[in-house]
Amino acid sequence: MTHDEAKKSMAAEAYVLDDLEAAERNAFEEHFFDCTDCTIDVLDAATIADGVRTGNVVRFRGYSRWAAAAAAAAVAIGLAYNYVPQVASLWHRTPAPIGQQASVPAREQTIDLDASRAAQAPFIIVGNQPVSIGFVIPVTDPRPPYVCELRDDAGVLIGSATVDTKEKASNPVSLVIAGGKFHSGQYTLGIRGDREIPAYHFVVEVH
Amino acid sequence: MDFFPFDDEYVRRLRDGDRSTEDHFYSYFEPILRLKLRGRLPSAEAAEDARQETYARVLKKLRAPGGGEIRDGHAFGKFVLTVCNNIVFETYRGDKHNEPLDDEIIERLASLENSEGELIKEQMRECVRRVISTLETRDRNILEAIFFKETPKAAICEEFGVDQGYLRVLLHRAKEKFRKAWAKEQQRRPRDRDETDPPRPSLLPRETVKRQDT
Repeated sequence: MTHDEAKKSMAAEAYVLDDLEAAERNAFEEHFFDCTDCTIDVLDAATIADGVRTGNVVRFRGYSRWAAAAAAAAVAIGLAYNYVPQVASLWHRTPAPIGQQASVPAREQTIDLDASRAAQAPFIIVGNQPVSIGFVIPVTDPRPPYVCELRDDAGVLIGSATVDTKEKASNPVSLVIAGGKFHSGQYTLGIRGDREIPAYHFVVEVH
Repeated sequence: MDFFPFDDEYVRRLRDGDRSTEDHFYSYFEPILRLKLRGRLPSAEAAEDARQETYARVLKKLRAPGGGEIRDGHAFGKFVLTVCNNIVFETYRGDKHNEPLDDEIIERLASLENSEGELIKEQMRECVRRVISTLETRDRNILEAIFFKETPKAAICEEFGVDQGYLRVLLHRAKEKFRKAWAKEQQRRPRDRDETDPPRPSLLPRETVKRQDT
């Protein structure tokens, strides 16, 4: 396949849409790794696809061995938590009790949203570090997809995630926000899906 | 992500176990393989298995005694896709014979998926979603229908009142609008960017991309 043929037949779009016959697909694959334009066409589609469908849960086939390694790491972290309080503070993930400020000055900062406490006390974060927002989609019998959008008090979209499987919707969701995106103020995490879901509201203080 | 010209030197480094080349190999092909496997296998798990199996088989073939099967480094990309195609066919035929992944591959994939690289990827996804949210409803709906909801093509065509051939045109236009919105977004917030922001992808207006025809 030449580039002109690929362009004329919109082969990159057909490839993405899985419209090509096996022979055409092979011919296009043969071509596109040698063609800047077509590679970029396909990579752009891949980037959009990856952005639209988020929260890839990666499961490793050699799970048992990987799980053993992860368990060992968890034990090590547990020991560190018990014996090295300053390290434990970096990994602390439990929200502070109601009425107390939840300080998460760790390198990977975490805000665990909990409807019962969220409006009560601000989460204190370091502004230039990424923040992971943990929350659950409070529904029984989830029917994905759910689009979760975090907005500030002016309604500006700060970040979003799409939960696209039942399994993911049944488990805690994590939305990672890059450093520097938060300012002090009120935030709303809205969840759009198959039914009306109450939004999470919380306050952030950036230090 | 940019166009990358594979060559014999790249293949040699990969064969020799050069760490940064391996990282590039895993990262570069991740979106391509995900896109390729999307919808071709019965489940997301099967697609993920096939992706990991592709990595494993490519490295195994490359490192086989006698120098592996790759004669021409420039054709490495096509070689990876051929391996992936074979795995898909085996899955269709039901004679898949996945071997356990090497510990080393598992650890490398795990470290890539859990490292700072994952954070950068998440930032990239966030940017993509933000840009998509600025598109006109029709373009946004097309991209979401194709990539997110993975609605059957016939249903998408019916919803937008077009035939399958014209759906390619709509996708093409939506992608072009996305590229322009992406470029605009990047220009709008140059001072917001720092080194933690996602790398610039290939999402540039078409006139800035040089074509290397074959």
